[in-house]
Amino acid sequence: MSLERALGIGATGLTAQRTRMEVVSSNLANSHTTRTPDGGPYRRKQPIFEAQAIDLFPSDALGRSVRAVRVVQVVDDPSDFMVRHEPGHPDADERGFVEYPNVDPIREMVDMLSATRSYEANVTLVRSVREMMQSALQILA
Amino acid sequence: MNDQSLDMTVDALRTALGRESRRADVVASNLANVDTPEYRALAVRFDDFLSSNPNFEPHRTNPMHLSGFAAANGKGTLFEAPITRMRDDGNTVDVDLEMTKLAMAQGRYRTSAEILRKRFALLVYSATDGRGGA
Repeated sequence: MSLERALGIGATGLTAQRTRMEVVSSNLANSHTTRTPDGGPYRRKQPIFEAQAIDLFPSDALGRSVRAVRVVQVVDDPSDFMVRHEPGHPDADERGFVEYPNVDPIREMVDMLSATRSYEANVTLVRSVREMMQSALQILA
Repeated sequence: MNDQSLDMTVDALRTALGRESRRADVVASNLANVDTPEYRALAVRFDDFLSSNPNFEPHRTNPMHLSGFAAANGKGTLFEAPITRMRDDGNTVDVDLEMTKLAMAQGRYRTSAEILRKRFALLVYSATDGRGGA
Protein backbone atom coordinates (compact mmCIF):
# COMPACT_ATOMS: atom_id res chain seq x y z
CA MET A 1 0.00 0.00 0.00
CA SER A 2 1.43 3.23 -1.16
CA LEU A 3 0.28 5.24 1.83
CA GLU A 4 2.54 3.21 4.06
CA ARG A 5 5.47 4.32 1.97
CA ALA A 6 4.48 7.94 2.52
CA LEU A 7 4.35 7.25 6.24
CA GLY A 8 7.80 5.64 6.10
CA ILE A 9 9.27 8.61 4.28
CA GLY A 10 7.67 10.96 6.77
CA ALA A 11 9.22 8.95 9.58
CA THR A 12 12.71 9.34 8.10
CA GLY A 13 12.07 13.09 7.98
CA LEU A 14 11.16 13.09 11.66
CA THR A 15 14.27 11.11 12.55
CA ALA A 16 16.52 13.41 10.55
CA GLN A 17 15.11 16.56 12.14
CA ARG A 18 15.31 15.05 15.60
CA THR A 19 18.96 14.19 15.03
CA ARG A 20 19.52 17.76 13.91
CA MET A 21 17.90 18.98 17.11
CA GLU A 22 20.16 16.72 19.15
CA VAL A 23 23.18 18.16 17.38
CA VAL A 24 21.96 21.70 18.08
CA SER A 25 21.51 20.91 21.76
CA SER A 26 24.97 19.37 21.89
CA ASN A 27 26.41 22.52 20.34
CA LEU A 28 24.53 24.82 22.68
CA ALA A 29 25.34 22.79 25.77
CA ASN A 30 29.02 22.83 24.87
CA SER A 31 29.27 26.41 23.70
CA HIS A 32 31.81 27.12 26.44
CA THR A 33 33.51 23.74 26.72
CA THR A 34 37.26 24.18 26.56
CA ARG A 35 38.23 20.59 27.24
CA THR A 36 37.31 17.49 25.26
CA PRO A 37 38.67 13.93 25.21
CA ASP A 38 40.39 14.74 21.89
CA GLY A 39 42.09 17.74 23.48
CA GLY A 40 41.31 21.36 22.74
CA PRO A 41 37.91 23.00 22.90
CA TYR A 42 34.65 21.53 21.61
CA ARG A 43 34.12 21.78 17.88
CA ARG A 44 30.71 22.65 16.51
CA LYS A 45 29.01 19.59 15.00
CA GLN A 46 26.73 19.58 12.01
CA PRO A 47 24.59 16.79 10.57
CA ILE A 48 24.79 15.92 6.87
CA PHE A 49 21.48 15.00 5.26
CA GLU A 50 21.25 12.79 2.23
CA ALA A 51 18.25 12.03 0.03
CA GLN A 52 17.95 8.29 -0.21
CA ALA A 53 16.17 6.49 -3.03
CA ILE A 54 13.76 3.82 -1.89
CA ASP A 55 14.59 0.63 -3.73
CA LEU A 56 11.06 -0.64 -4.15
CA PHE A 57 10.26 2.39 -6.16
CA PRO A 58 11.07 2.42 -9.86
CA SER A 59 12.79 5.63 -10.77
CA ASP A 60 12.54 6.96 -14.28
CA ALA A 61 15.35 7.24 -16.81
CA LEU A 62 16.47 10.56 -15.35
CA GLY A 63 16.86 9.04 -11.92
CA ARG A 64 13.92 10.86 -10.43
CA SER A 65 12.26 8.95 -7.67
CA VAL A 66 10.57 9.55 -4.40
CA ARG A 67 13.23 9.67 -1.72
CA ALA A 68 13.55 9.36 2.00
CA VAL A 69 16.13 11.27 4.01
CA ARG A 70 18.94 10.01 6.16
CA VAL A 71 21.63 11.56 8.31
CA VAL A 72 24.77 10.12 6.74
CA GLN A 73 27.17 11.52 9.31
CA VAL A 74 27.72 14.24 11.83
CA VAL A 75 30.82 16.22 10.96
CA ASP A 76 32.93 18.79 12.76
CA ASP A 77 32.75 22.37 11.66
CA PRO A 78 36.35 23.19 10.66
CA SER A 79 36.03 26.94 11.21
CA ASP A 80 38.33 28.77 13.64
CA PHE A 81 37.77 28.75 17.36
CA MET A 82 36.79 31.93 19.10
CA VAL A 83 39.71 33.38 21.00
CA ARG A 84 39.33 35.48 24.10
CA HIS A 85 41.90 37.13 26.29
CA GLU A 86 41.42 35.62 29.75
CA PRO A 87 44.83 35.32 31.44
CA GLY A 88 43.31 33.86 34.61
CA HIS A 89 41.74 30.90 32.82
CA PRO A 90 43.42 27.52 33.45
CA ASP A 91 43.29 26.71 29.73
CA ALA A 92 44.84 30.00 28.64
CA ASP A 93 48.03 29.83 26.57
CA GLU A 94 51.21 31.61 27.60
CA ARG A 95 49.94 34.91 26.17
CA GLY A 96 46.68 34.64 28.09
CA PHE A 97 44.39 33.65 25.21
CA VAL A 98 41.72 31.00 25.64
CA GLU A 99 40.22 29.14 22.70
CA TYR A 100 36.46 28.73 22.96
CA PRO A 101 34.27 26.52 20.74
CA ASN A 102 33.30 27.80 17.29
CA VAL A 103 29.65 27.78 18.35
CA ASP A 104 27.56 30.83 17.58
CA PRO A 105 24.44 30.69 19.79
CA ILE A 106 22.41 32.81 17.35
CA ARG A 107 23.17 30.46 14.52
CA GLU A 108 22.21 27.50 16.68
CA MET A 109 18.94 29.18 17.60
CA VAL A 110 18.10 29.72 13.95
CA ASP A 111 18.96 26.10 13.27
CA MET A 112 16.76 25.03 16.13
CA LEU A 113 13.80 27.00 14.81
CA SER A 114 14.32 25.61 11.35
CA ALA A 115 14.50 22.04 12.69
CA THR A 116 11.31 22.61 14.69
CA ARG A 117 9.43 23.88 11.66
CA SER A 118 10.62 21.04 9.47
CA TYR A 119 9.71 18.54 12.15
CA GLU A 120 6.23 20.05 12.36
CA ALA A 121 5.85 19.81 8.60
CA ASN A 122 6.64 16.11 8.78
CA VAL A 123 4.28 15.57 11.70
CA THR A 124 1.52 17.21 9.69
CA LEU A 125 2.27 14.87 6.84
CA VAL A 126 2.12 11.80 9.07
CA ARG A 127 -1.19 13.01 10.50
CA SER A 128 -2.68 13.62 7.07
CA VAL A 129 -1.58 10.24 5.78
CA ARG A 130 -3.01 8.57 8.84
CA GLU A 131 -6.27 10.35 8.24
CA MET A 132 -6.26 9.15 4.64
CA MET A 133 -5.71 5.60 5.81
CA GLN A 134 -8.61 5.91 8.19
CA SER A 135 -10.94 7.10 5.47
CA ALA A 136 -9.83 4.11 3.38
CA LEU A 137 -10.64 1.81 6.27
CA GLN A 138 -14.13 3.23 6.49
CA ILE A 139 -15.00 2.32 2.91
CA LEU A 140 -16.62 -0.91 4.00
CA ALA A 141 -17.76 0.30 7.38
CA MET B 1 -5.97 -2.77 -14.90
CA ASN B 2 -7.76 -5.66 -16.60
CA ASP B 3 -9.62 -6.98 -13.59
CA GLN B 4 -12.81 -5.10 -14.18
CA SER B 5 -14.62 -5.18 -10.89
CA LEU B 6 -18.14 -4.21 -9.97
CA ASP B 7 -18.47 -1.26 -12.23
CA MET B 8 -16.74 1.75 -13.70
CA THR B 9 -17.37 3.82 -10.58
CA VAL B 10 -15.44 1.47 -8.37
CA ASP B 11 -12.60 1.17 -10.87
CA ALA B 12 -12.31 4.90 -11.33
CA LEU B 13 -12.43 5.57 -7.62
CA ARG B 14 -9.88 2.90 -6.90
CA THR B 15 -7.40 4.49 -9.27
CA ALA B 16 -8.26 7.88 -7.82
CA LEU B 17 -7.29 6.60 -4.39
CA GLY B 18 -4.03 5.24 -5.78
CA ARG B 19 -3.33 8.54 -7.45
CA GLU B 20 -3.85 10.59 -4.31
CA SER B 21 -1.70 8.29 -2.24
CA ARG B 22 0.99 8.65 -4.89
CA ARG B 23 0.69 12.41 -4.46
CA ALA B 24 1.10 11.94 -0.73
CA ASP B 25 4.26 9.91 -1.44
CA VAL B 26 5.74 12.74 -3.43
CA VAL B 27 4.87 15.31 -0.75
CA ALA B 28 6.38 12.98 1.86
CA SER B 29 9.59 12.82 -0.13
CA ASN B 30 9.74 16.60 -0.48
CA LEU B 31 8.97 17.29 3.17
CA ALA B 32 11.44 14.69 4.43
CA ASN B 33 14.12 16.31 2.30
CA VAL B 34 13.23 19.88 3.14
CA ASP B 35 16.74 20.43 4.54
CA THR B 36 18.73 18.20 2.23
CA PRO B 37 21.17 20.28 0.17
CA GLU B 38 20.79 20.02 -3.61
CA TYR B 39 17.49 18.18 -3.32
CA ARG B 40 15.11 19.11 -6.13
CA ALA B 41 11.44 19.17 -5.21
CA LEU B 42 9.41 16.66 -7.19
CA ALA B 43 5.89 16.86 -8.48
CA VAL B 44 3.72 14.27 -10.14
CA ARG B 45 1.53 14.59 -13.19
CA PHE B 46 -1.27 12.29 -14.22
CA ASP B 47 -3.08 14.00 -17.06
CA ASP B 48 -1.05 12.38 -19.83
CA PHE B 49 -2.39 9.01 -18.77
CA LEU B 50 -5.91 10.25 -19.20
CA SER B 51 -5.37 11.23 -22.77
CA SER B 52 -2.88 8.66 -23.98
CA ASN B 53 -4.12 5.33 -22.72
CA PRO B 54 -6.94 3.79 -24.76
CA ASN B 55 -7.36 0.96 -22.25
CA PHE B 56 -9.14 3.25 -19.90
CA GLU B 57 -11.78 4.30 -22.35
CA PRO B 58 -15.21 3.38 -20.99
CA HIS B 59 -17.89 1.60 -22.98
CA ARG B 60 -20.20 3.82 -24.91
CA THR B 61 -23.65 2.61 -25.76
CA ASN B 62 -24.07 5.36 -28.26
CA PRO B 63 -21.28 6.86 -30.38
CA MET B 64 -22.76 10.29 -29.68
CA HIS B 65 -21.92 9.96 -26.00
CA LEU B 66 -19.01 11.90 -24.67
CA SER B 67 -15.77 10.03 -24.33
CA GLY B 68 -12.72 10.74 -22.28
CA PHE B 69 -13.89 9.64 -18.90
CA ALA B 70 -10.96 7.50 -17.94
CA ALA B 71 -9.50 6.02 -14.82
CA ALA B 72 -5.87 6.98 -14.68
CA ASN B 73 -3.02 4.68 -13.85
CA GLY B 74 -1.85 5.26 -10.31
CA LYS B 75 1.75 6.10 -11.05
CA GLY B 76 1.84 9.24 -13.12
CA THR B 77 5.02 10.96 -14.19
CA LEU B 78 7.49 12.55 -11.84
CA PHE B 79 9.05 15.83 -12.78
CA GLU B 80 11.01 18.51 -11.03
CA ALA B 81 8.66 21.07 -9.57
CA PRO B 82 9.01 24.65 -10.81
CA ILE B 83 11.26 26.59 -8.51
CA THR B 84 9.26 28.88 -6.26
CA ARG B 85 11.96 29.81 -3.80
CA MET B 86 15.68 30.23 -3.80
CA ARG B 87 18.01 29.05 -1.11
CA ASP B 88 21.75 28.99 -1.07
CA ASP B 89 21.89 25.22 -0.60
CA GLY B 90 20.26 24.32 -3.91
CA ASN B 91 17.16 22.88 -2.26
CA THR B 92 13.93 23.79 -4.04
CA VAL B 93 11.30 22.50 -1.61
CA ASP B 94 8.55 25.00 -0.83
CA VAL B 95 6.93 23.91 2.43
CA ASP B 96 3.79 26.01 1.98
CA LEU B 97 3.22 24.61 -1.47
CA GLU B 98 3.74 21.07 -0.22
CA MET B 99 1.30 21.60 2.62
CA THR B 100 -1.31 22.84 0.17
CA LYS B 101 -0.74 19.86 -2.07
CA LEU B 102 -1.01 17.53 0.89
CA ALA B 103 -4.27 19.08 2.04
CA MET B 104 -5.68 18.81 -1.48
CA ALA B 105 -4.61 15.19 -1.83
CA GLN B 106 -6.12 14.41 1.55
CA GLY B 107 -9.40 16.07 0.65
CA ARG B 108 -9.67 14.28 -2.67
CA TYR B 109 -8.73 10.99 -1.07
CA ARG B 110 -11.49 11.40 1.49
CA THR B 111 -13.96 12.32 -1.19
CA SER B 112 -13.16 9.26 -3.25
CA ALA B 113 -13.22 7.00 -0.22
CA GLU B 114 -16.57 8.39 0.82
CA ILE B 115 -18.11 7.88 -2.60
CA LEU B 116 -16.74 4.34 -2.66
CA ARG B 117 -18.26 3.74 0.73
CA LYS B 118 -21.63 4.96 -0.50
CA ARG B 119 -21.33 2.82 -3.60
CA PHE B 120 -20.79 -0.31 -1.55
CA ALA B 121 -23.50 0.66 0.90
CA LEU B 122 -25.83 0.88 -2.07
CA LEU B 123 -24.84 -2.65 -3.07
CA VAL B 124 -25.57 -3.91 0.42
CA TYR B 125 -28.86 -2.07 0.34
CA SER B 126 -30.01 -3.75 -2.84
CA ALA B 127 -28.56 -7.13 -1.85
CA THR B 128 -30.63 -7.13 1.30
CA ASP B 129 -33.88 -6.11 -0.34
CA GLY B 130 -33.65 -2.66 1.09
CA ARG B 131 -33.46 -3.82 4.66
CA GLY B 132 -29.81 -3.22 5.38
CA GLY B 133 -26.87 -1.05 4.39
CA ALA B 134 -27.07 2.55 3.19
